[in-house]
Amino acid sequence: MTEPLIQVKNLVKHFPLPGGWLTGQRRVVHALEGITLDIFPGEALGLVGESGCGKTTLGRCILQLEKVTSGQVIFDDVDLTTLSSRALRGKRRNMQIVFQNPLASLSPRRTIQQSLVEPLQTHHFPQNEWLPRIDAMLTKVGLGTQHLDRYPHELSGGQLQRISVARALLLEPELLVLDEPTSALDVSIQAQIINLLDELRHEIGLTYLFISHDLSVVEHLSDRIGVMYLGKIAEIGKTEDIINQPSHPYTQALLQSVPKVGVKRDSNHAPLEGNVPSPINPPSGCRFHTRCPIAETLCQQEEPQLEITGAGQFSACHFTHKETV
Amino acid sequence: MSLAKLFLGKRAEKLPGDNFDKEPVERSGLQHTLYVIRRDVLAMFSVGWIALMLIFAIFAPIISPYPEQGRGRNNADYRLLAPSSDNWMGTDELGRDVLSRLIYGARPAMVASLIVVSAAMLIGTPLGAIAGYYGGWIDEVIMRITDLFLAFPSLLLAMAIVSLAGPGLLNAVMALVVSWWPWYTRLVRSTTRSLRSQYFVEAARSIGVRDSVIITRHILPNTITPIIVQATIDIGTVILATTSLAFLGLGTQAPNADWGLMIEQGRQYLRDAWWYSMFPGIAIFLTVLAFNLLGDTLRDIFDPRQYR
Amino acid sequence: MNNLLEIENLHIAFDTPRGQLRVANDISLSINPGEIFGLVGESGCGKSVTGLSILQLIPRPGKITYGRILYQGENLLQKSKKQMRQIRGDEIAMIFQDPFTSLNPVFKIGQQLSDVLRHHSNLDKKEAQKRILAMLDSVGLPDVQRIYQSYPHELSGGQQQRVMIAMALISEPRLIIADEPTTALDVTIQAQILRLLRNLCDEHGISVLLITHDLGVVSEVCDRSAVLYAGKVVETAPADKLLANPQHPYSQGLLAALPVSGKKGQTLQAIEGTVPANPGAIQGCVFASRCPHVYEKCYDAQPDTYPVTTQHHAACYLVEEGVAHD
Repeated sequence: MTEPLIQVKNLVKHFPLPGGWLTGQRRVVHALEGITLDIFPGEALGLVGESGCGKTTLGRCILQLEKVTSGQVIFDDVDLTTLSSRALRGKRRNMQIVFQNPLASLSPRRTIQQSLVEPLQTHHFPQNEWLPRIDAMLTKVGLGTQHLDRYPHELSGGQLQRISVARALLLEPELLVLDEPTSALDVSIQAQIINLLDELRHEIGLTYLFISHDLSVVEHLSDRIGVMYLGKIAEIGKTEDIINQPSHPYTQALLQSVPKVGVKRDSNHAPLEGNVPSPINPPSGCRFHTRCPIAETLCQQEEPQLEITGAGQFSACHFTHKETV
Repeated sequence: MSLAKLFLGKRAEKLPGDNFDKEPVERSGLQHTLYVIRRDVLAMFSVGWIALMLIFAIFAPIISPYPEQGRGRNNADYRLLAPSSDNWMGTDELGRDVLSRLIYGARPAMVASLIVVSAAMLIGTPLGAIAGYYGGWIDEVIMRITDLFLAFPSLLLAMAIVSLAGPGLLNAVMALVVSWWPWYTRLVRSTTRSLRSQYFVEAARSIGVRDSVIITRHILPNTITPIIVQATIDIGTVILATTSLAFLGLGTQAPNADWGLMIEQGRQYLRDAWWYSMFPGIAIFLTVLAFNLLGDTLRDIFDPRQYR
Repeated sequence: MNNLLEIENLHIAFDTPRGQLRVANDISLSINPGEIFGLVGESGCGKSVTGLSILQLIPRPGKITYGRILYQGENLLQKSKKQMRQIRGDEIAMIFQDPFTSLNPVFKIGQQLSDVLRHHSNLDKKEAQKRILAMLDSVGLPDVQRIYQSYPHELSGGQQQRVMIAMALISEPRLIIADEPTTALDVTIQAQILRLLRNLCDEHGISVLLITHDLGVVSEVCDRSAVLYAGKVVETAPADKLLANPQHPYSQGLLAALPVSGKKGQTLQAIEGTVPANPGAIQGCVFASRCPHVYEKCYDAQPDTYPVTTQHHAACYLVEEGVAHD
């Protein structure tokens, strides 16, 4: 049993909303409500969920781009949430992120070269190493040095995303958080980036936290998948198990909702009715009970905890049952 | 990052997704600027007029037909003469050539406004950037101070300073700087706030870049465009302000030449010697208009997606 | 001719200060009554602008430079502005990608729907309200009285999109043009909306031109479909045939690039290269520069559309020669 690279313990993140002065009660967005999970070295953990589930917030909290409301993020035996900004800066080398919008991820008035030098300069790499490292990394991501003098708006989405990956990897991080890295790209470019990410992981031995709403992409790249709903983990387990034998009703509905090529579904039956409740006023008990096809009174009263439903598979449901899809 | 590089950096006009029959034209920053200006008559006018006013201000002793009179020397035998071949714009009540006074009047107008706007920018920008980037109580404190200064009517403030320190152009300038810097703080703050949540700023944070470096390297260069546009238009507005103060007797003092002062002094002669107030009035109008138009043109130049 | 809508040789171009940009190049397709037709392609292929052209909603400086759009046999491009206003909403309606920006934020839902309805009919307020409530119910919205009185921002994305559909349906059009109607929505909500569109088609005989980049959506709800690349229709076929047996190398490439179950661990087949910078100026096949099966003829002249079966056509010389790869 290997030691986890990152341990998230009971992470809570609330975003305060403006207003509420008169009643004395600030309204709050319950973005994350008690997340506990481990990320193991060398694995690709996928996080899926729909809007409001908190997957992006979780990624940002792990990286300390957001201050957590409570909970711990333990990396290398140190709780990152307790570190000062100066100490944190040192740790940042080990965890990097690639964002969803490649064009917006690079400073518009700086050349590609300047953007790539920045991490090396910030972490005091010797100056004579900068260009060789950048060269090598560009080659690794499939680009050449002719792009160095260009500005971001002169390059395509696919190229820019490769540069974002290159920039993240220049610091030789252990963990790479990928926040919807292919959502803004066309299918053909998406395939190129997916291939690249897969290759790099096996070549360099990276650990990925892959956040996406696109189940098929997550399935392709991840070893384990965590399904989130309204700030909590509904189910987590090995990819094959989640995809083929999901335990949680939400996972099952999600899988059935994804339009798949070659599968025509029963047109009279949408897998899941209703809307996602607001994270400002989440439902009581199990947050999914308002839309769950098998919900009972217990679900409204008591919140289910993550329970084992298979080897390495956990589901937060009172009536966990496996259903083969 | 040098300011020159900002304006003159290599700008290809081809944008991703652009597909054209003709090959895209590669223009340097300067060429691009000239290209846009040439295509727009109003822009040409504004650049031309401002250039003329700058020439007036810098070369007044050389250009004006009667430099001594421009500076204030009387010429009592030639009072209130209508425009003629000797005096293209006539003479004032002390016999001085109005044209020469006009040319010398460009000096306080241009110099004062440039100083006011530059000072306001230098004070307001860092405050705005800090307020916008950090938010929280720092933002509150800075913005409340800003609100306080914004509430001062600049004219009253000018009068207050003048009553303490005495009248004159320098004091008028100081009064205006104090009234003007808050606008830049607000502008920079709102731009900074929206930039702060952009991915590239987050990327810099995730890399571990210090806040001060993020502000100077990533945020400020991207706020310069609206600042420059605002500053250009402001120069025109400040000219109105300085000439108004002179008009009220709070700014430039006689016998120095100033457009506002000339209008005031020419008021009593408006029926018989219209040229005295008219020409400086037209000069103010055209100069302010030119700066406003230039500001619009700059906005178009800086916005890569809009060509008129 | 049973066609509800027929687009014939449509050319659309954008006039810019630096030249003319051709976004649609000889597009032809037809939609039958009572079917969902999928128009598929990646960004920039011209699918959205084709949809807009039907209702002559192309923003300036774009314009239709050639071609006909026949609705029930009549050429829409020759109609007057007044006639087009009649047709829009009444005969042909449109739904856009982002419902939030398509609904006026300062008016209540009921007000907006009522405006549309009364523009196209002579109903008085009470009658109109009854119809609207019935319509909101039929698109699956719960608590219709409340929705009628709500402002757009009080609704969720899925609800807003349903309101858009209600607005499109309110005067009983025959054809709905849906431009990426579910792209901005969560996948479970998408499933609901797609099912709704399918029901509308099956039960009321309304045709839908569904513009999308998602082949999964095509698979799930479309009857027939066409694939667009750089402004040209490269393949037209019944949806299941297209996805099971694509004939054009681009369609094949798109399918091969999708990460689907069973490909895990394998490298996805990405399409080499990028979309050409100026498709209008290319002499030969517009996909030639990226095609894995390209040969000389492809660079010389644009291929016509060749039949694979009576229903299935592709614009590829390989199909002409009968040697298309499977």
